[in-house]
Amino acid sequence: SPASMDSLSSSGVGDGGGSDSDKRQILEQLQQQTALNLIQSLVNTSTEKCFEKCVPSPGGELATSEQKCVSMCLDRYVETWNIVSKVYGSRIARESGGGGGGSSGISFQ
Amino acid sequence: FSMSSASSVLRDPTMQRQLLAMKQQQEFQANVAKFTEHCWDRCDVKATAKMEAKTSRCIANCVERYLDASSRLSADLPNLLSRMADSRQQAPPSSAKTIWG
Repeated sequence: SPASMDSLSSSGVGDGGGSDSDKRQILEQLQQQTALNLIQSLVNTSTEKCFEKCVPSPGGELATSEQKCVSMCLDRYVETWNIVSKVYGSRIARESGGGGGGSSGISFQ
Repeated sequence: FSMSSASSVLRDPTMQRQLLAMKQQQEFQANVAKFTEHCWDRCDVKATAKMEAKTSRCIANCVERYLDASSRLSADLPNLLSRMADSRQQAPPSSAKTIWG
């Protein structure tokens, strides 16, 4: 639920505008929105790829075999995502001297 | 909620650090999405119950080689840019002024 505009007018300690909890709330909302955008992107792309792969000739309805294919396809797509995330994350960590910020990847279980 | 309190929130250094970290994370995820789509096609990942070992190897190689190619390109970029500046001295097309002028 969106932060109420009233609560955002309270002043915090020392910085003249916006309490710490307001800032936390803003960051949380941004984080949530980012995560949502990510899921959206994953769904859109995997749907396209799996439709291509599993439903070569769209008929009057989705056959059982096609439904199973789509389901397995989605699993394999997420697995691909996880492999990519791991490899890319490790590479960045390696190239930034091993310190970095650790793997900043989101992995889907 | 006034504009001055909005800008003071954004001026907060802790806030800026957090926002930068989030931006970097977002960039990371955007790249993961891009590589996943690209390598899914390149490695011809199949819609099977289990992924073949050669496929997962292919995906890992796909990502690593893409990054290698990208590094290679970045390393060559200064050279490329200087060559573009040289050709401009010879016969600059009018459009070059828009970019470099």
